[in-house]
Amino acid sequence: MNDESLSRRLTLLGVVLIGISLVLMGKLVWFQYQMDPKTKATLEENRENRLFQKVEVQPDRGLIFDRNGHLLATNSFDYQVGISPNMVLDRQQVAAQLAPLVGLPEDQIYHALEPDENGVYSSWVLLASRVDFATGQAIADLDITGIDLDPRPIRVYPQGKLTAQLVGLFAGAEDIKNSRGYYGVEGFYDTLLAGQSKRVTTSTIPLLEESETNTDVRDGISLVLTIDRDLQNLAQEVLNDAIESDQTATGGTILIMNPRNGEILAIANYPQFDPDDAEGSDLDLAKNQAVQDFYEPGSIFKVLTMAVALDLGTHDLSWTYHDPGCMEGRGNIICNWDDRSRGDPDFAQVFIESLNTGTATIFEQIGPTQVYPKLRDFGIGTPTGVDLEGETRGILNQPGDLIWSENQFLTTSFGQGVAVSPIQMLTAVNAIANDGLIMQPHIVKARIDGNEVIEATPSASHRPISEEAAHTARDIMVRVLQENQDIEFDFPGYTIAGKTGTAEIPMPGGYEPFQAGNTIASFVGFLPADDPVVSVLVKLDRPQDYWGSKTAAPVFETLLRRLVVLMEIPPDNLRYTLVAEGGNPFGREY
Amino acid sequence: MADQNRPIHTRSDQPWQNQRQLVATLSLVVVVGIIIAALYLIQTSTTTTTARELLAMDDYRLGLELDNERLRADIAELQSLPRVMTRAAELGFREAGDDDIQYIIVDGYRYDRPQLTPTATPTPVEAEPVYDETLSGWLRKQWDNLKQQFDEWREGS
Repeated sequence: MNDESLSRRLTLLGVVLIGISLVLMGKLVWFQYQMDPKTKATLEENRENRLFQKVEVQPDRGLIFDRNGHLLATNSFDYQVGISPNMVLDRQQVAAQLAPLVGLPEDQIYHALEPDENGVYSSWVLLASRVDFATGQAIADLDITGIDLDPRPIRVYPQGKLTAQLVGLFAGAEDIKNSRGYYGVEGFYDTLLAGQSKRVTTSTIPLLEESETNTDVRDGISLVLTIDRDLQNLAQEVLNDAIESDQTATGGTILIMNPRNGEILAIANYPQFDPDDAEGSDLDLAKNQAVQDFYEPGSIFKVLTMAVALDLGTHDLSWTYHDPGCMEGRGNIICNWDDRSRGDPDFAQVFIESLNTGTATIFEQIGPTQVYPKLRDFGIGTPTGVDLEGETRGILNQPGDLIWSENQFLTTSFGQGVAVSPIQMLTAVNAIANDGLIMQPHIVKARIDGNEVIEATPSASHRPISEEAAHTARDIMVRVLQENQDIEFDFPGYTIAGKTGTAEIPMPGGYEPFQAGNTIASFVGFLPADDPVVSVLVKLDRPQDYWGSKTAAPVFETLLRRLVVLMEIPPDNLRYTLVAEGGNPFGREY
Repeated sequence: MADQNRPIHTRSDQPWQNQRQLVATLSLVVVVGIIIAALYLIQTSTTTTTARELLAMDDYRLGLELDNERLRADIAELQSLPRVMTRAAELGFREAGDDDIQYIIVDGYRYDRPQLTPTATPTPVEAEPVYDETLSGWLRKQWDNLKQQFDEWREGS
């Protein structure tokens, strides 16, 4: 080959290479700007799928604290355990290692790790949907190839049974997205606690920014309750002791409130619900009996009869009537608790002696037209609006209702034929304690939204009675505890207003026979009577000694002995001195 | 004649000159391409490394958040009332009764006395000197600046 020929060939090769390069570059340009739209869309979709994934970012659920900052509900996590059989080398060893940790038989795990009949291994199998943190760590420490530990959020209730019925529970599904709050605060404030999730398109390459957020993710708002954990524990202990030491008692409630601002300080119910054993427990126990259940209150309802009469002005302290012991009602006989006549008792004596004939006479004289609107003013037959899920409205039959009768109107005067929830009853009595004004009962003291704390302002609900009538009713309630010798209550040093109640339990066609284990005993009261900071309702279901004065009153006394220490409520003489000296009569802020 | 005097090998080498130029040009293009590719490769690998680091940090952050949540729950459970009461009993504490409480009256103390909020005394602020747009103004400004720098230097030393 001569030089000229070689030169020509090299030139030709150069031209060809440059030509090919130009064609490729031209094709690239065309590909970039003149691509078939369908091809372009397909390629872009493939790119999106490969580089991006759409996920829903779940917010953290809000925490729940008591008034002193103790956690009542918080978030934690446990693990979902899975494994990729196609990555496991020694199935027998892995099965032996995992069996005790995930709680499955060794052969079952071994079988899950085997290939199918075609010899194909699964890419992933679930071994346990939930194992706790310690177990998860133990599995991680085994360092098994192919093991997959996926943290899953869970709700934790550190105080356990103590606050379960008022906090409620968070449940519903394996994934947090489809779960929700039920009962109590969790149920009522579910939307606030849940926060707001967001949809995000995230890149598999972290340097690329997230996009397509429909809104910002917003963590749930945390709640500070009015509940005092120490008071709650006290109420629960006293209630448990009372019921467990009683041969026939089946349940009960102690409700503690501040009548001045409507705060709920403690709600203890029996039986309790264990949130750590939600699957094994009866879910019906999770409901808050103080709010969701109603009962015929019996004689504690007489304080409302008294307040109604005093406020309407139809009766005053000088009023008297002739007490026959038993009287003809409207189609039924109404008797005093002991069937005895007290002669011609006055207005106060009716309540001090808890005379059914007296209250029935008072209602008869006032008439249903005036009584029922007043009872509604006290919140009987209507929900109080407390911020706890599932509140009952109770039962208050009125003229025009199918099952209303004149006899029922008369028995309503002593708390039979009417049904209330414990919180309805105590809220109504709070009107007497708080100079005639009902404060809106509530359980949330503050909301924490990020760094912002929003305090709940106590609000007056309404005024069912005048201040004067409330003071007169209060003074009679003080005399009930001072003058009724049948009430087993002795707590010197403090002026306390109270009233006992013993209610028969309705059954189809009438009431259960009046005997041990067939009544609901209760006590309602507040202290210090002249400047109340705390009101209490004690309710015992089916106690052995069926009178409220013999069962509920001693429980109230036991509770008070420890409560005045815990709440730092000084005896009256000391309190008066403190006030005279300019000191704070109450050591703790309530 | 002059052409005849030129050495023959010089003329015969001339075609190779063009080839060399072409090869040199192509080589240059290749080298530049390699350099660009290398730069791209370096950038890509740096990006990937950073991405991996970010992923690891993201995982670490998630782990820390989970640990915090778990610790908060653990602390709350350790501080739960039954545990605290059991521990207190082990340490010999008991619940106070009403006989154990003493209320003390402190003479002159009023719980609702007005809070005395200290009010700050306003510090006099020197007025900013105003310089006009004249020569003397400019000179004054320069002098003040110089003086300020000297003061700062003296305080610093």
